[in-house]
Amino acid sequence: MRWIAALLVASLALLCASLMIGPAGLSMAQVMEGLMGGEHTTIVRELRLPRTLLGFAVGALLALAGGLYQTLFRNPLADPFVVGVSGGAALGAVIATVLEIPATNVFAFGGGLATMLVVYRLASTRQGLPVVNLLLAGFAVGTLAGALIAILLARRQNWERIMGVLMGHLSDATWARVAVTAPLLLVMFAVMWALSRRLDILTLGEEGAHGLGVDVERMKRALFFAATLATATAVSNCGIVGFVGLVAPHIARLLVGPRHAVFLPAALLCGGIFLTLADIGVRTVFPGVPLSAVAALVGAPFFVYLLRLRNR
Amino acid sequence: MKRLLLVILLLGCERQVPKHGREFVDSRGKTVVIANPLRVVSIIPSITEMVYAAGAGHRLVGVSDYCDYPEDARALPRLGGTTLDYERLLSLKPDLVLSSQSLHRERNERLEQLGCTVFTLDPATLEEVIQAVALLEKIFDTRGRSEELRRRLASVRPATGEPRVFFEYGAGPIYAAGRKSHIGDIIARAGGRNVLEDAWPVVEWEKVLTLRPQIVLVAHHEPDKVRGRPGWAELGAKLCVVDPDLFLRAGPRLMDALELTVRLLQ
Repeated sequence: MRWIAALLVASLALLCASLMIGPAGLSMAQVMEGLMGGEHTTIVRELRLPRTLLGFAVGALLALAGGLYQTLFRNPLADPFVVGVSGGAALGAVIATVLEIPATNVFAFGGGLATMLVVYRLASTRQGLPVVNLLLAGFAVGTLAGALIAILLARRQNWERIMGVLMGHLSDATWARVAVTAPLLLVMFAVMWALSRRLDILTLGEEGAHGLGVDVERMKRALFFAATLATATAVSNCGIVGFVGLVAPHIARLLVGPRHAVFLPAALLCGGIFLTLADIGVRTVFPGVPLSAVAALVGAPFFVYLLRLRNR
Repeated sequence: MKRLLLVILLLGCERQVPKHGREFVDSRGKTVVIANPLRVVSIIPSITEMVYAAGAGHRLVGVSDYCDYPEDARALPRLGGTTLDYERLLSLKPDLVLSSQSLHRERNERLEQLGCTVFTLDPATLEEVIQAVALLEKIFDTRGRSEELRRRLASVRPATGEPRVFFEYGAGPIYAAGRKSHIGDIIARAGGRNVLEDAWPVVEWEKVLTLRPQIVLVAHHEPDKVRGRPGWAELGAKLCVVDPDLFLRAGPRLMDALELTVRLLQ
């Protein structure tokens, strides 16, 4: 509980910091004034505020998705990218971009869901859903989605927007995007939190969970669906950003342990903090650099450190 | 369609609207009210060049990361490339943002939501570039180079003999420009015959060989790659390395590109 409180305080502090930072170089007083209205209101209320909230929400969604996939596959290396869902969601978003259809969210979810169903079919056996099958099928289908994106890229239409999806960025953050991501995050978190006892039981192993009266297959489907929805929403609103879904749940588990009642909120906050930090980096130290690159710059070394810690 | 819009745009401009400035129609077909813009942002390199050609370069307060010509443009604040830094743009307090509708429809919508006045230009031929420069001169009330460009265009004497021309701007894979692109327009005006039809195709070298170009215009930095391709010697074509920006940007330097092409085709 202490850790959750600390993470909450850190989140709030970072959200405030994110509002204060930007190329316009506003003072703290000017930002406060801009929040109320007045001269800098467009910069503060229409640019910084939605960007800050969207960044946090996307990071939290990815962390939640990563945490759920890890529980589902009982594999700490599982995340939205490993199971191929972000590739599928990105393909959906890219198709919407190429066809100039504004409903990127819907297409990304369609792509993510289609990927999920194909992966699910490919991986299913009469005995159920072996984890190795899932990871391999996810890899294959994710790679295929990447190839299809490359084909669309080769037409060189809307090149910059497609690259935006592939590299990830928050410069197109609007209130409309916040209005999609934030409520979804809250609802999904509430549902998963309510299910946290069953998620705990699921980590014991499928036979054990079955013995304790959990409908494992149904639970798996629900998790798969929820994590896919979270991933697709994140990808369609900010492009592909790696490592959040991997690193944030790891840190959360280190801090509060594996019990889902505390692990889920901690993972969510860690994800939000991670992406908010990365975006502050983009806006200060690395202007113009894709968000995914900054996230990887921080995430990759940290991930290696975590791996070494585990192996020791 | 674009030509039609430009005609409308030229007919429609300069209607006096008291106090609020004048009305101009842009490449979206949208009527934009503009009152003597003094703080101008351009997010397209070719448009930045057109603003300078219109004699209004000193009104620019911000440009895209890709705007590197003329030299003065390099000193201006950079507002982004693949992504646009909306906050930095707004903090410059521009009274006019120049953009392209074919490249940046979404950015234009966002900028207007944020309260910017957006005017789009999408010239697709050299003639339309000159018309766009003339339009910018009207918007800024400046004397620029549109008349000079027009005179130069009128005095171009195309090369004779209709040599077959192949234009590539990327070597691996081969990115080419065909008749339907603005580069196709330049080659046709210079008296050449572009061997390709589509605007911006990716082609196989094998196909280029069968089309037997006599002149190969190379707008990238790997001419040796072209010379090293099988069948190059037998083709017996003349290879000319040209400045990519001169040809690929649909801006005022297309006039230089045209005059250069005429010389190369002689």
